[in-house]
Amino acid sequence: MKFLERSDISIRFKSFLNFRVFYLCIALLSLLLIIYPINFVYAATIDDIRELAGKQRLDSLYSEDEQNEIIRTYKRIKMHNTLASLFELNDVLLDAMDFESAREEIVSRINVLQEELLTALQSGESVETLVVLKMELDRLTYLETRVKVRGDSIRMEKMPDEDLWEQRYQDLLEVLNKIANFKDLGSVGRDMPFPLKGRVELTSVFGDRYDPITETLSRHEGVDLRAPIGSEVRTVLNGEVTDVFEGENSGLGVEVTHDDGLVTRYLHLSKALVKVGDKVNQGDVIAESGDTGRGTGPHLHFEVILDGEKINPLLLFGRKGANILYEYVGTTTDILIGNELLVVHAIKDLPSTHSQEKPQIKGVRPLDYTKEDGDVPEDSIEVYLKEGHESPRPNSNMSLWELRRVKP
Amino acid sequence: MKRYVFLVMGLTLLILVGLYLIFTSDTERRLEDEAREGILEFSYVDATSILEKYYFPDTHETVIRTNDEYQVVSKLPRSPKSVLVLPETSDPEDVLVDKQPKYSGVWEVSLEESSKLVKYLESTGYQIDHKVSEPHYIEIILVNGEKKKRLVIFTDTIMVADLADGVNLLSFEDYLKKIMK
Repeated sequence: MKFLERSDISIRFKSFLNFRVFYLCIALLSLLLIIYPINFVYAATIDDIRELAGKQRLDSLYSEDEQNEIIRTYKRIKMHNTLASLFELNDVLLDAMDFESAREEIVSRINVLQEELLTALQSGESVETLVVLKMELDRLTYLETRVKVRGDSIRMEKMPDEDLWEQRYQDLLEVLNKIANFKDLGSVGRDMPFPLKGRVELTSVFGDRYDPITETLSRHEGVDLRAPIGSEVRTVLNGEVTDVFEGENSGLGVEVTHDDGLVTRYLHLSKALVKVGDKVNQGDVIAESGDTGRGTGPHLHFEVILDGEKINPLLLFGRKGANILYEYVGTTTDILIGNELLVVHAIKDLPSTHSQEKPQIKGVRPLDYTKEDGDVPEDSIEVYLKEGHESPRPNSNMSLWELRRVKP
Repeated sequence: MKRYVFLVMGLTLLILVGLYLIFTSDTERRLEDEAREGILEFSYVDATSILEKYYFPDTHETVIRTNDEYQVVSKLPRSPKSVLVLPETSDPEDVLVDKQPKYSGVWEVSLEESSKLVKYLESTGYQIDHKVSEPHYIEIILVNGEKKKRLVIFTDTIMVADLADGVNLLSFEDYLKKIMK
Protein backbone atom coordinates (compact mmCIF):
# COMPACT_ATOMS: atom_id res chain seq x y z
CA MET A 1 0.00 0.00 0.00
CA LYS A 2 2.82 2.28 0.94
CA PHE A 3 4.52 1.38 -2.31
CA LEU A 4 1.45 2.36 -4.31
CA GLU A 5 1.17 5.69 -2.51
CA ARG A 6 4.81 6.48 -3.12
CA SER A 7 4.45 5.61 -6.80
CA ASP A 8 1.39 7.81 -7.07
CA ILE A 9 3.28 10.78 -5.59
CA SER A 10 6.21 10.09 -7.84
CA ILE A 11 4.02 10.05 -10.98
CA ARG A 12 2.28 13.24 -9.93
CA PHE A 13 5.61 14.90 -9.23
CA LYS A 14 6.96 13.79 -12.59
CA SER A 15 3.94 15.04 -14.50
CA PHE A 16 4.21 18.33 -12.58
CA LEU A 17 7.86 18.55 -13.60
CA ASN A 18 7.03 17.69 -17.21
CA PHE A 19 4.36 20.34 -17.27
CA ARG A 20 6.74 22.99 -15.88
CA VAL A 21 9.65 21.97 -18.11
CA PHE A 22 7.42 22.03 -21.17
CA TYR A 23 6.23 25.58 -20.54
CA LEU A 24 9.70 26.71 -19.50
CA CYS A 25 11.04 25.44 -22.82
CA ILE A 26 8.30 27.26 -24.72
CA ALA A 27 9.10 30.49 -22.85
CA LEU A 28 12.83 30.15 -23.51
CA LEU A 29 12.25 29.45 -27.17
CA SER A 30 10.00 32.50 -27.51
CA LEU A 31 12.61 34.64 -25.80
CA LEU A 32 15.29 33.36 -28.15
CA LEU A 33 13.11 34.06 -31.17
CA ILE A 34 12.75 37.67 -30.07
CA ILE A 35 16.32 38.35 -28.94
CA TYR A 36 18.27 36.40 -31.57
CA PRO A 37 17.23 38.40 -34.64
CA ILE A 38 17.62 41.74 -32.90
CA ASN A 39 21.24 40.93 -32.10
CA PHE A 40 22.08 40.49 -35.74
CA VAL A 41 19.86 42.98 -37.50
CA TYR A 42 22.50 45.64 -37.78
CA ALA A 43 25.49 43.38 -38.24
CA ALA A 44 25.21 44.10 -41.96
CA THR A 45 22.55 45.03 -44.45
CA ILE A 46 21.32 42.87 -47.29
CA ASP A 47 23.02 45.20 -49.73
CA ASP A 48 26.35 44.83 -47.94
CA ILE A 49 26.17 41.10 -48.38
CA ARG A 50 24.94 41.39 -51.94
CA GLU A 51 27.90 43.65 -52.65
CA LEU A 52 30.26 41.36 -50.82
CA ALA A 53 28.90 38.29 -52.50
CA GLY A 54 28.92 39.62 -56.07
CA LYS A 55 29.11 36.67 -58.39
CA GLN A 56 32.49 37.56 -59.86
CA ARG A 57 34.04 37.92 -56.46
CA LEU A 58 32.46 34.75 -55.22
CA ASP A 59 33.97 32.76 -58.04
CA SER A 60 37.39 34.35 -57.89
CA LEU A 61 38.00 34.83 -54.21
CA TYR A 62 36.01 32.35 -52.17
CA SER A 63 36.18 28.61 -51.83
CA GLU A 64 33.00 26.60 -52.11
CA ASP A 65 32.63 26.38 -48.33
CA GLU A 66 33.11 30.12 -47.95
CA GLN A 67 30.54 30.76 -50.67
CA ASN A 68 28.03 28.61 -48.84
CA GLU A 69 28.74 30.50 -45.63
CA ILE A 70 28.16 33.83 -47.38
CA ILE A 71 24.87 32.64 -48.82
CA ARG A 72 23.80 31.33 -45.43
CA THR A 73 24.70 34.70 -43.88
CA TYR A 74 22.79 36.51 -46.59
CA LYS A 75 19.67 34.44 -45.98
CA ARG A 76 19.96 34.90 -42.24
CA ILE A 77 20.33 38.68 -42.49
CA LYS A 78 17.50 38.89 -44.97
CA MET A 79 15.28 37.18 -42.44
CA HIS A 80 16.48 39.46 -39.67
CA ASN A 81 15.83 42.58 -41.70
CA THR A 82 12.35 41.37 -42.48
CA LEU A 83 11.73 40.91 -38.80
CA ALA A 84 13.26 44.31 -38.08
CA SER A 85 10.97 46.01 -40.52
CA LEU A 86 8.04 44.29 -38.86
CA PHE A 87 9.06 45.75 -35.53
CA GLU A 88 9.89 49.11 -37.15
CA LEU A 89 13.32 49.03 -35.58
CA ASN A 90 15.03 50.32 -38.68
CA ASP A 91 13.78 53.88 -38.52
CA VAL A 92 14.25 54.18 -34.79
CA LEU A 93 17.89 53.12 -34.93
CA LEU A 94 18.68 55.09 -38.06
CA ASP A 95 17.38 58.23 -36.41
CA ALA A 96 19.54 57.58 -33.39
CA MET A 97 22.70 57.16 -35.49
CA ASP A 98 25.24 59.91 -35.59
CA PHE A 99 26.12 59.69 -39.27
CA GLU A 100 29.02 62.11 -39.18
CA SER A 101 30.80 60.34 -36.33
CA ALA A 102 30.15 56.99 -37.94
CA ARG A 103 31.58 58.21 -41.20
CA GLU A 104 34.66 59.73 -39.59
CA GLU A 105 35.34 56.45 -37.83
CA ILE A 106 35.04 54.52 -41.08
CA VAL A 107 37.28 56.96 -42.98
CA SER A 108 39.91 56.74 -40.26
CA ARG A 109 39.83 52.93 -40.45
CA ILE A 110 40.13 53.12 -44.25
CA ASN A 111 43.26 55.28 -43.95
CA VAL A 112 44.90 52.88 -41.51
CA LEU A 113 44.04 49.89 -43.71
CA GLN A 114 45.45 51.62 -46.79
CA GLU A 115 48.77 52.01 -45.01
CA GLU A 116 48.66 48.37 -43.92
CA LEU A 117 47.98 47.26 -47.48
CA LEU A 118 50.85 49.30 -48.93
CA THR A 119 53.27 48.05 -46.29
CA ALA A 120 52.17 44.46 -46.93
CA LEU A 121 52.72 44.98 -50.65
CA GLN A 122 56.20 46.43 -50.17
CA SER A 123 57.30 43.84 -47.66
CA GLY A 124 56.43 40.87 -49.84
CA GLU A 125 53.42 39.62 -47.85
CA SER A 126 51.44 36.87 -49.55
CA VAL A 127 48.88 37.82 -52.17
CA GLU A 128 46.20 36.16 -50.03
CA THR A 129 46.93 38.70 -47.27
CA LEU A 130 46.73 41.55 -49.79
CA VAL A 131 43.37 40.29 -51.05
CA VAL A 132 41.93 40.12 -47.55
CA LEU A 133 43.05 43.69 -46.82
CA LYS A 134 41.62 44.95 -50.10
CA MET A 135 38.30 43.22 -49.52
CA GLU A 136 38.03 44.86 -46.13
CA LEU A 137 38.85 48.22 -47.74
CA ASP A 138 36.17 47.65 -50.39
CA ARG A 139 33.63 46.82 -47.70
CA LEU A 140 34.47 49.91 -45.66
CA THR A 141 34.46 52.20 -48.70
CA TYR A 142 31.05 50.90 -49.67
CA LEU A 143 29.81 51.40 -46.13
CA GLU A 144 31.24 54.92 -46.02
CA THR A 145 29.33 55.85 -49.21
CA ARG A 146 26.11 54.53 -47.77
CA VAL A 147 26.55 56.38 -44.50
CA LYS A 148 27.44 59.57 -46.39
CA VAL A 149 24.43 59.34 -48.69
CA ARG A 150 22.06 58.63 -45.85
CA GLY A 151 23.57 61.38 -43.71
CA ASP A 152 23.44 63.92 -46.55
CA SER A 153 19.88 63.01 -47.25
CA ILE A 154 18.83 63.63 -43.68
CA ARG A 155 20.81 66.86 -43.47
CA MET A 156 19.09 68.15 -46.59
CA GLU A 157 15.72 67.20 -45.18
CA LYS A 158 16.46 69.32 -42.14
CA MET A 159 17.93 72.23 -44.12
CA PRO A 160 18.26 74.81 -41.32
CA ASP A 161 19.40 77.55 -43.69
CA GLU A 162 16.44 79.91 -43.96
CA ASP A 163 18.07 82.05 -46.65
CA LEU A 164 18.51 79.04 -48.86
CA TRP A 165 14.85 78.14 -48.47
CA GLU A 166 13.78 81.64 -49.26
CA GLN A 167 16.02 81.72 -52.33
CA ARG A 168 14.63 78.43 -53.57
CA TYR A 169 11.14 79.66 -53.05
CA GLN A 170 11.79 82.88 -54.94
CA ASP A 171 13.25 80.85 -57.83
CA LEU A 172 10.09 78.79 -57.93
CA LEU A 173 7.92 81.89 -57.96
CA GLU A 174 9.88 83.25 -60.87
CA VAL A 175 9.25 80.08 -62.85
CA LEU A 176 5.57 80.15 -61.95
CA ASN A 177 5.29 83.74 -63.09
CA LYS A 178 6.69 82.76 -66.45
CA ILE A 179 4.29 79.83 -66.69
CA ALA A 180 1.36 82.07 -65.80
CA ASN A 181 2.28 84.34 -68.71
CA PHE A 182 2.53 81.63 -71.37
CA LYS A 183 0.74 82.34 -74.64
CA ASP A 184 -0.61 79.96 -77.26
CA LEU A 185 0.77 76.84 -75.68
CA GLY A 186 -2.54 75.25 -74.81
CA SER A 187 -3.96 74.98 -71.30
CA VAL A 188 -1.58 74.99 -68.39
CA GLY A 189 -2.31 74.31 -64.73
CA ARG A 190 -5.29 72.19 -63.69
CA ASP A 191 -6.55 71.69 -67.26
CA MET A 192 -3.24 70.57 -68.66
CA PRO A 193 -3.15 66.85 -69.54
CA PHE A 194 -0.41 64.61 -68.14
CA PRO A 195 1.78 62.87 -70.70
CA LEU A 196 0.13 59.56 -69.69
CA LYS A 197 -3.55 58.75 -69.68
CA GLY A 198 -5.35 57.32 -66.68
CA ARG A 199 -3.91 57.20 -63.19
CA VAL A 200 -0.55 58.94 -63.08
CA GLU A 201 1.95 57.81 -60.47
CA LEU A 202 5.29 59.40 -59.69
CA THR A 203 8.18 57.00 -59.17
CA SER A 204 10.93 59.59 -58.85
CA VAL A 205 10.94 63.32 -58.23
CA PHE A 206 12.82 66.24 -59.74
CA GLY A 207 16.03 67.55 -58.16
CA ASP A 208 18.56 66.03 -55.78
CA ARG A 209 17.69 62.48 -55.03
CA TYR A 210 19.16 59.15 -54.04
CA ASP A 211 20.17 57.54 -57.34
CA PRO A 212 19.13 53.87 -57.25
CA ILE A 213 21.85 52.88 -59.73
CA THR A 214 24.92 54.80 -58.56
CA GLU A 215 23.74 54.84 -54.93
CA THR A 216 24.77 58.46 -54.52
CA LEU A 217 22.96 61.76 -54.27
CA SER A 218 22.57 63.11 -57.77
CA ARG A 219 20.41 65.58 -59.64
CA HIS A 220 17.39 64.14 -61.41
CA GLU A 221 16.49 66.48 -64.23
CA GLY A 222 12.89 65.43 -64.72
CA VAL A 223 10.19 63.30 -63.15
CA ASP A 224 9.65 59.56 -63.61
CA LEU A 225 6.10 58.34 -64.14
CA ARG A 226 5.09 54.71 -63.81
CA ALA A 227 4.27 53.38 -67.30
CA PRO A 228 4.01 49.78 -68.51
CA ILE A 229 5.84 49.23 -71.81
CA GLY A 230 3.65 50.33 -74.71
CA SER A 231 1.66 53.00 -72.82
CA GLU A 232 0.58 55.93 -75.00
CA VAL A 233 2.71 59.02 -74.43
CA ARG A 234 1.04 62.36 -75.17
CA THR A 235 2.49 65.77 -75.71
CA VAL A 236 1.44 68.10 -72.91
CA LEU A 237 1.21 71.29 -74.98
CA ASN A 238 0.92 72.47 -78.60
CA GLY A 239 4.25 72.54 -80.41
CA GLU A 240 6.60 71.06 -82.99
CA VAL A 241 8.73 67.90 -82.80
CA THR A 242 12.34 69.13 -82.87
CA ASP A 243 14.24 65.93 -82.14
CA VAL A 244 13.84 62.14 -82.09
CA PHE A 245 17.00 60.69 -80.60
CA GLU A 246 18.55 57.63 -78.99
CA GLY A 247 21.18 57.75 -76.24
CA GLU A 248 22.90 55.30 -73.91
CA ASN A 249 21.28 56.86 -70.84
CA SER A 250 18.13 58.38 -72.30
CA GLY A 251 17.16 55.47 -74.53
CA LEU A 252 14.75 56.48 -77.28
CA GLY A 253 13.52 60.05 -76.78
CA VAL A 254 11.29 62.68 -78.36
CA GLU A 255 11.70 66.43 -77.93
CA VAL A 256 8.89 68.88 -78.55
CA THR A 257 9.47 72.63 -78.69
CA HIS A 258 6.68 74.98 -77.67
CA ASP A 259 6.39 78.74 -77.69
CA ASP A 260 7.86 81.09 -75.09
CA GLY A 261 11.15 79.19 -74.65
CA LEU A 262 9.56 75.99 -73.41
CA VAL A 263 10.75 72.51 -74.43
CA THR A 264 9.42 69.14 -73.24
CA ARG A 265 11.26 65.81 -73.55
CA TYR A 266 9.97 62.26 -73.21
CA LEU A 267 12.61 59.54 -72.60
CA HIS A 268 13.07 55.73 -72.31
CA LEU A 269 10.48 55.18 -75.08
CA SER A 270 9.99 51.94 -76.97
CA LYS A 271 8.59 53.55 -80.11
CA ALA A 272 8.39 57.08 -81.55
CA LEU A 273 5.21 57.81 -83.55
CA VAL A 274 6.31 61.23 -84.80
CA LYS A 275 9.23 62.60 -86.77
CA VAL A 276 11.17 65.84 -86.63
CA GLY A 277 9.11 68.75 -88.01
CA ASP A 278 5.69 67.28 -87.15
CA LYS A 279 3.23 69.78 -85.64
CA VAL A 280 1.54 68.39 -82.55
CA ASN A 281 -1.41 69.51 -80.48
CA GLN A 282 -1.90 69.20 -76.74
CA GLY A 283 -2.87 65.60 -75.93
CA ASP A 284 -1.66 64.04 -79.22
CA VAL A 285 -0.09 60.58 -78.91
CA ILE A 286 3.55 60.96 -79.94
CA ALA A 287 5.18 57.75 -78.71
CA GLU A 288 4.91 54.50 -76.75
CA SER A 289 6.68 54.19 -73.41
CA GLY A 290 9.38 51.59 -72.79
CA ASP A 291 12.44 50.74 -70.75
CA THR A 292 15.23 51.74 -73.12
CA GLY A 293 18.43 53.40 -71.86
CA ARG A 294 19.61 53.57 -68.25
CA GLY A 295 16.91 52.76 -65.75
CA THR A 296 15.66 50.24 -63.24
CA GLY A 297 12.43 49.35 -65.06
CA PRO A 298 9.78 50.57 -67.47
CA HIS A 299 8.80 54.20 -66.89
CA LEU A 300 8.45 57.52 -68.66
CA HIS A 301 11.05 60.15 -67.87
CA PHE A 302 9.49 63.56 -68.50
CA GLU A 303 11.57 66.72 -68.65
CA VAL A 304 10.64 70.39 -69.02
CA ILE A 305 13.17 72.99 -70.12
CA LEU A 306 12.32 76.66 -69.68
CA ASP A 307 14.69 79.26 -71.17
CA GLY A 308 17.40 76.60 -71.39
CA GLU A 309 17.07 75.51 -67.77
CA LYS A 310 15.50 72.27 -66.60
CA ILE A 311 12.62 72.94 -64.21
CA ASN A 312 10.37 70.74 -62.11
CA PRO A 313 7.78 69.50 -64.65
CA LEU A 314 5.08 69.34 -61.98
CA LEU A 315 5.04 73.15 -61.89
CA LEU A 316 3.12 73.08 -65.17
CA PHE A 317 0.24 71.06 -63.77
CA GLY A 318 -0.94 73.19 -60.86
CA ARG A 319 -2.81 71.36 -58.14
CA LYS A 320 -2.83 68.16 -60.19
CA GLY A 321 0.95 68.18 -59.95
CA ALA A 322 0.75 68.86 -56.24
CA ASN A 323 -1.62 65.94 -55.74
CA ILE A 324 0.58 63.32 -57.37
CA LEU A 325 3.49 64.70 -55.37
CA TYR A 326 1.51 64.23 -52.15
CA GLU A 327 0.79 60.65 -53.10
CA TYR A 328 4.47 60.08 -53.74
CA VAL A 329 5.45 61.59 -50.40
CA GLY A 330 3.16 59.11 -48.70
CA THR A 331 4.80 56.08 -50.25
CA THR A 332 8.48 56.79 -50.72
CA THR A 333 11.32 56.22 -48.30
CA ASP A 334 14.02 58.36 -49.90
CA ILE A 335 12.82 61.83 -50.72
CA LEU A 336 13.89 65.25 -49.62
CA ILE A 337 10.56 66.25 -48.23
CA GLY A 338 11.37 69.92 -47.65
CA ASN A 339 12.02 70.53 -51.33
CA GLU A 340 8.90 68.73 -52.38
CA LEU A 341 6.60 70.54 -49.98
CA LEU A 342 8.06 73.81 -51.15
CA VAL A 343 7.03 72.92 -54.69
CA VAL A 344 3.57 71.84 -53.60
CA HIS A 345 2.93 75.08 -51.78
CA ALA A 346 4.42 77.21 -54.50
CA ILE A 347 2.08 75.83 -57.11
CA LYS A 348 -1.08 75.74 -55.02
CA ASP A 349 -2.18 79.17 -56.25
CA LEU A 350 -1.23 78.61 -59.86
CA PRO A 351 -4.18 79.69 -62.04
CA SER A 352 -6.10 76.70 -63.37
CA THR A 353 -6.04 77.93 -66.95
CA HIS A 354 -3.86 80.25 -68.93
CA SER A 355 -4.22 83.65 -67.30
CA GLN A 356 -2.41 86.87 -66.72
CA GLU A 357 -3.00 86.47 -62.99
CA LYS A 358 0.12 85.85 -60.98
CA PRO A 359 0.50 83.50 -58.02
CA GLN A 360 -0.34 85.13 -54.71
CA ILE A 361 2.18 83.52 -52.42
CA LYS A 362 3.95 85.93 -50.13
CA GLY A 363 6.14 83.96 -47.83
CA VAL A 364 7.40 80.64 -46.68
CA ARG A 365 8.50 79.16 -43.39
CA PRO A 366 11.73 77.21 -43.25
CA LEU A 367 11.63 73.51 -42.55
CA ASP A 368 12.65 73.61 -38.91
CA TYR A 369 10.73 76.78 -38.09
CA THR A 370 8.61 76.85 -34.95
CA LYS A 371 6.48 79.60 -33.53
CA GLU A 372 8.94 80.06 -30.68
CA ASP A 373 11.60 81.04 -33.18
CA GLY A 374 10.05 84.45 -33.83
CA ASP A 375 7.28 86.25 -35.63
CA VAL A 376 5.49 84.37 -38.35
CA PRO A 377 4.07 86.47 -41.20
CA GLU A 378 0.31 85.92 -41.36
CA ASP A 379 0.32 85.35 -45.09
CA SER A 380 3.17 82.86 -45.02
CA ILE A 381 2.80 79.24 -45.92
CA GLU A 382 3.68 76.42 -43.58
CA VAL A 383 6.20 74.41 -45.47
CA TYR A 384 6.89 72.08 -42.62
CA LEU A 385 5.48 72.18 -39.13
CA LYS A 386 7.75 70.81 -36.49
CA GLU A 387 6.30 70.17 -33.06
CA GLY A 388 8.73 68.84 -30.54
CA HIS A 389 10.31 66.24 -32.82
CA GLU A 390 14.06 66.36 -33.14
CA SER A 391 14.34 64.61 -36.45
CA PRO A 392 11.09 64.07 -38.33
CA ARG A 393 11.39 61.53 -41.07
CA PRO A 394 9.33 61.62 -44.25
CA ASN A 395 8.73 57.90 -44.37
CA SER A 396 7.48 57.46 -40.84
CA ASN A 397 3.89 57.61 -39.71
CA MET A 398 4.72 60.72 -37.71
CA SER A 399 5.78 62.61 -40.81
CA LEU A 400 2.65 61.64 -42.66
CA TRP A 401 0.60 62.92 -39.77
CA GLU A 402 2.42 66.23 -39.93
CA LEU A 403 2.02 66.33 -43.66
CA ARG A 404 -1.74 66.11 -43.32
CA ARG A 405 -1.68 69.01 -40.90
CA VAL A 406 0.00 71.32 -43.37
CA LYS A 407 -1.96 70.20 -46.39
CA PRO A 408 -4.02 73.13 -47.71
CA MET B 1 71.06 -19.86 -52.28
CA LYS B 2 72.70 -16.48 -51.87
CA ARG B 3 73.13 -16.26 -55.66
CA TYR B 4 69.35 -16.70 -56.14
CA VAL B 5 68.65 -13.96 -53.64
CA PHE B 6 70.93 -11.55 -55.44
CA LEU B 7 69.39 -12.60 -58.77
CA VAL B 8 65.85 -11.90 -57.54
CA MET B 9 66.90 -8.56 -56.04
CA GLY B 10 68.66 -7.59 -59.25
CA LEU B 11 65.66 -8.56 -61.39
CA THR B 12 63.32 -6.65 -59.10
CA LEU B 13 65.50 -3.57 -59.38
CA LEU B 14 65.58 -3.88 -63.15
CA ILE B 15 61.79 -4.21 -63.31
CA LEU B 16 61.35 -1.14 -61.10
CA VAL B 17 63.76 0.95 -63.17
CA GLY B 18 62.03 -0.23 -66.35
CA LEU B 19 58.61 0.63 -64.99
CA TYR B 20 59.83 4.06 -63.94
CA LEU B 21 61.24 4.73 -67.38
CA ILE B 22 58.06 3.55 -69.11
CA PHE B 23 55.94 5.59 -66.76
CA THR B 24 57.89 8.86 -67.14
CA SER B 25 58.30 8.58 -70.90
CA ASP B 26 54.59 7.89 -71.21
CA THR B 27 53.83 11.06 -69.25
CA GLU B 28 56.15 13.13 -71.40
CA ARG B 29 54.61 11.69 -74.52
CA ARG B 30 51.14 12.41 -73.24
CA LEU B 31 52.09 15.95 -72.34
CA GLU B 32 53.48 16.50 -75.79
CA ASP B 33 50.49 14.90 -77.50
CA GLU B 34 47.81 16.46 -75.39
CA ALA B 35 49.40 19.74 -74.36
CA ARG B 36 46.42 21.66 -75.71
CA GLU B 37 43.97 19.75 -73.61
CA GLY B 38 45.86 20.17 -70.36
CA ILE B 39 44.70 23.00 -68.13
CA LEU B 40 47.53 25.13 -66.72
CA GLU B 41 46.69 25.74 -63.08
CA PHE B 42 49.89 27.28 -61.84
CA SER B 43 53.03 28.72 -63.39
CA TYR B 44 56.30 30.03 -61.99
CA VAL B 45 58.90 31.28 -64.45
CA ASP B 46 62.26 32.90 -63.81
CA ALA B 47 65.43 33.27 -65.85
CA THR B 48 66.57 29.68 -65.28
CA SER B 49 63.62 27.60 -64.18
CA ILE B 50 60.01 26.74 -64.89
CA LEU B 51 57.47 25.23 -62.53
CA GLU B 52 54.02 24.36 -63.83
CA LYS B 53 50.97 22.43 -62.72
CA TYR B 54 48.61 20.90 -65.27
CA TYR B 55 45.34 19.06 -65.04
CA PHE B 56 44.14 16.73 -67.78
CA PRO B 57 40.34 16.44 -67.72
CA ASP B 58 40.23 13.30 -69.86
CA THR B 59 42.49 11.24 -67.57
CA HIS B 60 42.00 13.33 -64.38
CA GLU B 61 45.77 13.45 -64.01
CA THR B 62 47.50 16.26 -62.19
CA VAL B 63 51.00 16.71 -63.57
CA ILE B 64 53.78 18.85 -62.15
CA ARG B 65 56.50 20.07 -64.45
CA THR B 66 59.84 21.12 -62.95
CA ASN B 67 61.96 22.42 -65.79
CA ASP B 68 62.13 19.40 -68.14
CA GLU B 69 60.78 16.80 -65.74
CA TYR B 70 57.14 15.76 -65.53
CA GLN B 71 55.54 13.94 -62.64
CA VAL B 72 52.01 12.68 -62.21
CA VAL B 73 51.04 13.57 -58.66
CA SER B 74 47.39 12.63 -58.65
CA LYS B 75 44.75 10.88 -60.71
CA LEU B 76 41.72 12.19 -58.87
CA PRO B 77 38.99 13.97 -60.77
CA ARG B 78 38.42 17.63 -59.70
CA SER B 79 37.34 21.03 -61.03
CA PRO B 80 40.43 22.96 -62.07
CA LYS B 81 40.74 26.68 -62.85
CA SER B 82 43.18 27.90 -65.46
CA VAL B 83 45.65 30.65 -64.70
CA LEU B 84 44.97 34.30 -65.39
CA VAL B 85 46.64 35.36 -68.63
CA LEU B 86 47.75 38.85 -69.62
CA PRO B 87 46.52 39.78 -73.08
CA GLU B 88 49.23 40.29 -75.67
CA THR B 89 50.06 43.91 -76.38
CA SER B 90 52.77 45.70 -78.26
CA ASP B 91 51.67 49.07 -76.93
CA PRO B 92 53.70 50.14 -73.88
CA GLU B 93 51.87 52.75 -71.82
CA ASP B 94 52.14 54.18 -68.33
CA VAL B 95 48.44 53.69 -67.64
CA LEU B 96 48.74 54.87 -64.03
CA VAL B 97 50.29 58.24 -64.67
CA ASP B 98 47.01 60.17 -64.94
CA LYS B 99 44.94 57.85 -62.83
CA GLN B 100 44.00 58.33 -59.19
CA PRO B 101 44.75 55.26 -57.08
CA LYS B 102 41.75 53.65 -55.44
CA TYR B 103 43.83 52.95 -52.34
CA SER B 104 47.55 53.50 -51.70
CA GLY B 105 49.30 51.33 -54.30
CA VAL B 106 46.02 50.05 -55.78
CA TRP B 107 44.53 51.13 -59.11
CA GLU B 108 41.42 50.01 -60.94
CA VAL B 109 42.62 49.00 -64.39
CA SER B 110 41.72 46.30 -66.91
CA LEU B 111 43.94 43.32 -67.74
CA GLU B 112 44.81 44.97 -71.03
CA GLU B 113 45.97 48.14 -69.27
CA SER B 114 48.03 46.04 -66.86
CA SER B 115 49.67 44.38 -69.83
CA LYS B 116 50.51 47.80 -71.30
CA LEU B 117 52.03 48.85 -67.98
CA VAL B 118 54.28 45.78 -67.85
CA LYS B 119 55.48 46.55 -71.37
CA TYR B 120 56.06 50.16 -70.38
CA LEU B 121 58.16 49.20 -67.36
CA GLU B 122 60.18 46.83 -69.53
CA SER B 123 60.77 49.67 -71.98
CA THR B 124 62.18 51.80 -69.14
CA GLY B 125 64.85 49.25 -68.26
CA TYR B 126 63.03 46.90 -65.89
CA GLN B 127 63.39 43.18 -66.51
CA ILE B 128 61.13 40.43 -65.27
CA ASP B 129 62.91 38.63 -62.43
CA HIS B 130 60.14 36.10 -61.99
CA LYS B 131 56.47 35.73 -62.76
CA VAL B 132 53.87 33.68 -60.90
CA SER B 133 50.51 32.97 -62.52
CA GLU B 134 47.56 31.72 -60.49
CA PRO B 135 43.88 31.47 -61.46
CA HIS B 136 43.02 34.70 -59.62
CA TYR B 137 46.13 36.80 -60.06
CA ILE B 138 49.53 37.27 -61.67
CA GLU B 139 52.47 38.41 -59.58
CA ILE B 140 55.47 39.89 -61.37
CA ILE B 141 58.73 41.00 -59.82
CA LEU B 142 60.66 43.43 -61.99
CA VAL B 143 64.26 44.42 -61.42
CA ASN B 144 66.19 47.42 -62.66
CA GLY B 145 69.63 47.54 -61.06
CA GLU B 146 69.05 48.04 -57.35
CA LYS B 147 65.37 48.81 -57.81
CA LYS B 148 62.75 46.09 -57.45
CA LYS B 149 59.08 46.54 -58.32
CA ARG B 150 56.24 44.24 -57.32
CA LEU B 151 53.10 44.01 -59.46
CA VAL B 152 50.06 42.00 -58.42
CA ILE B 153 47.55 41.91 -61.25
CA PHE B 154 43.88 40.96 -60.89
CA THR B 155 41.17 41.07 -63.56
CA ASP B 156 40.10 44.62 -62.67
CA THR B 157 42.82 45.86 -60.35
CA ILE B 158 46.57 46.20 -60.12
CA MET B 159 48.73 46.62 -57.03
CA VAL B 160 52.09 48.30 -57.63
CA ALA B 161 54.87 49.08 -55.16
CA ASP B 162 58.63 49.26 -54.88
CA LEU B 163 59.86 46.34 -52.82
CA ALA B 164 61.60 47.20 -49.57
CA ASP B 165 65.29 46.27 -49.23
CA GLY B 166 66.10 42.79 -48.02
CA VAL B 167 62.66 41.33 -48.63
CA ASN B 168 62.62 37.56 -49.01
CA LEU B 169 60.07 36.47 -51.55
CA LEU B 170 58.88 32.90 -52.07
CA SER B 171 61.43 30.84 -54.06
CA PHE B 172 61.06 28.11 -56.67
CA GLU B 173 61.29 25.51 -53.90
CA ASP B 174 58.65 27.27 -51.80
CA TYR B 175 56.23 27.27 -54.71
CA LEU B 176 57.02 23.61 -55.44
CA LYS B 177 56.12 22.71 -51.86
CA LYS B 178 52.99 24.83 -52.11
CA ILE B 179 51.62 23.19 -55.25
CA MET B 180 52.56 19.69 -54.15
CA LYS B 181 50.18 19.98 -51.19
